[in-house]
Amino acid sequence: MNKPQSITDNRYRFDSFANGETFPGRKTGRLPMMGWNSWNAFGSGNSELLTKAMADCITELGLDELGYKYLVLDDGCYKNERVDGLLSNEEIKFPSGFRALSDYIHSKGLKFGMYNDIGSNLCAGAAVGTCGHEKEDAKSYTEWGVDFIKVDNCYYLWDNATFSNAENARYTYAPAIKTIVIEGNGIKKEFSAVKDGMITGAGPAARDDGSIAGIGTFDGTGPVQSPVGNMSGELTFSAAGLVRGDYDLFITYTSGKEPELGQWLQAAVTSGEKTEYFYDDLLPESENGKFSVSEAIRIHIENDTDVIRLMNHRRQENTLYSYATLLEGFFEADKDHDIVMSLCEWGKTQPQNWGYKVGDSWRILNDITFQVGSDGNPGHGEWTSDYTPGVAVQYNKAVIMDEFSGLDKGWNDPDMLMVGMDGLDINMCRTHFSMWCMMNSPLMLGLDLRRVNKGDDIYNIIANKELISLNQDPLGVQAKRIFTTTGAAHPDKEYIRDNNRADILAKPLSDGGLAIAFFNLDDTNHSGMLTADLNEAIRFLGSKMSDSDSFINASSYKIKDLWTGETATVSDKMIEIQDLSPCGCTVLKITPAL
Amino acid sequence: MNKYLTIVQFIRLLSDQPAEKTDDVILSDAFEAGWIESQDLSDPGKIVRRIDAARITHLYLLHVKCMNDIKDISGAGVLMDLYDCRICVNHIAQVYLRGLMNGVCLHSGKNQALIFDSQSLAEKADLLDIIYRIRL
Repeated sequence: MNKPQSITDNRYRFDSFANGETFPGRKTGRLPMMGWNSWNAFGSGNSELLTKAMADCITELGLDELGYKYLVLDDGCYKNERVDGLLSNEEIKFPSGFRALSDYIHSKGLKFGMYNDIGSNLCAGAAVGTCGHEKEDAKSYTEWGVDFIKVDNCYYLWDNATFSNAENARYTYAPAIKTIVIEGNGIKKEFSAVKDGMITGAGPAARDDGSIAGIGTFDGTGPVQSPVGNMSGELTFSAAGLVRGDYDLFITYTSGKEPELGQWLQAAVTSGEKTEYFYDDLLPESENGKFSVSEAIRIHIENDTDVIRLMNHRRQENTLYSYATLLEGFFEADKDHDIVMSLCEWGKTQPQNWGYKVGDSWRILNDITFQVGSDGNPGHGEWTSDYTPGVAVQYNKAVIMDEFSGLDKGWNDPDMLMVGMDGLDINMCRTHFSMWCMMNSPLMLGLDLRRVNKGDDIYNIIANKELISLNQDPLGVQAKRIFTTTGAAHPDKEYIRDNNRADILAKPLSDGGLAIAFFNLDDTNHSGMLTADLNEAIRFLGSKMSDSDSFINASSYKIKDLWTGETATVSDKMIEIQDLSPCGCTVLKITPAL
Repeated sequence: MNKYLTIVQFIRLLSDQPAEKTDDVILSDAFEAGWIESQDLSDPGKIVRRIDAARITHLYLLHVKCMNDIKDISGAGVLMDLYDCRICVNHIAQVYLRGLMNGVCLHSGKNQALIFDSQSLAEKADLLDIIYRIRL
């Protein structure tokens, strides 16, 4: 393959992202996954012995009874190369093979997860990515009894992903466009991109040379940009003044191979509800930044209200195609086998828009820590950083992504838990866990469980049944931020990265109650009163509650602090707490008193 | 004289192995000790790139010299390409912050940036320098 596959099925198209339809083999209705993943605990140093030890610990600690069912082998378990075209176990660290390990894990009543990649290689380098091998790999995984697959994005052929060719940006951005000429039916019209074009979505912008560049999908890997809104920009032109018929479209453009300036163009015309694609390929490469005119692209105009769209949604579409191909492989291998797919493309291609079609969860950013542990070393986590490492960084993005998630869709994934790593004190760990529970994030433990004893501080966090029950509440609604001390007018939508603040989140529950969480993002005390207004909570969440009328009309409420266990009954609809410790939290369950 | 080293040559020098010990044994011992990875076993004759040097050196310090990681790696953020390789971040940060490997200055017109330049081949002199600095 020397360029991305041709797409003839509209299911993969950007315009289909919001239609709610999933691909065969994708089962919806699952609550966030809970389990343990080897990466944060052991990095590439995982082994059969360690994995079995973790399976033993999960059952000995009773974590399986709390819901931690999936035991996932991350990177570092395969031979570096395929054997007869198939995946194979690294024989020193995994001498018994994956089937035997799977059997052992299943014998414990747990489920077995593995890891791969949609690129040619895994992130740690092994040349065993699923690209081009989806069917046989899915068959292998099915034969091994794999229940869960985390699928990464390194070495991806069609984007400038980690280790991929940086020049792959030519596939993910359109060229810069200066003018278009539409000719036919006795009409010839020239349009200036800057003066006559309309930009939709984030990204496209005018350049000094009078062209529009940045036509593509904004890279969501880093923490700079909000995930809310249309992150995939287009340059559109109105067909006003054109009559029904076929036309030749000529585009004056210059191409590149870098972010914001690519070489792949999609040209389509939308007429009412219908969109027809007329070009979806590389344009000839420009010479040294010079502008040139394309060959004629034959388009059809139906009405003068049509919209001519010049765009490149391939960053999202190609990635969806790759994940869907792997899912299809699983479906073909055994359509009755239930496989959970965790998309790990780090938010690069805005998976919150399309991930639900193929996966149960989608990562929203690059990694929460790059300082993973090993046998004897707990690894290191941070509360925050200038890039993606840190509890607060991941939380700040995930907290405004609630509308992308749900039982009919899947879950935002702000990466695996760092509870138990150096660098986070117990307060931070408690808040980290509370945040992930409130936000319906997958709860994937990432520590060496041999260090945990029943009743110790770490155990008391990861085994908090009441917090877990929020995450696993059957209503399946991610918490919404209903207030922040920054005074943001739209606390549920505004992307706030300044951690000098406290947030209040509300989460509706299946028993008719609400969970209210107060989070201090700052590493100093938050002094003073914080007030959660239940009327405000209903205003934000009423339509998602099982019975908002009964809730708001109740004469009194039972309140339970889910960390301290303290209870109270109040008749006030203003729930107040005094002071929050540095990076601290209070999580309350509020139920109408009968 | 060769300008570069192979993976196994670097591992041998780093761990100061006697000449009579075979490459296979050196690699096997290092793998079992956890400071090299299966990619090193399967391709020991590969020329060392800068990222290989960072990874092997970092893991050698961790597993053989028992040196705990520097916890705060924010100082390595001056390297513009630090996060390009997700699994390499900590390897690069540790060797950079310990002064074992330097950044590379990239000039573009009037601008300049410091990068790690992971994929470039590591020169023998730089690799010997790493070993020298560890032994200081």
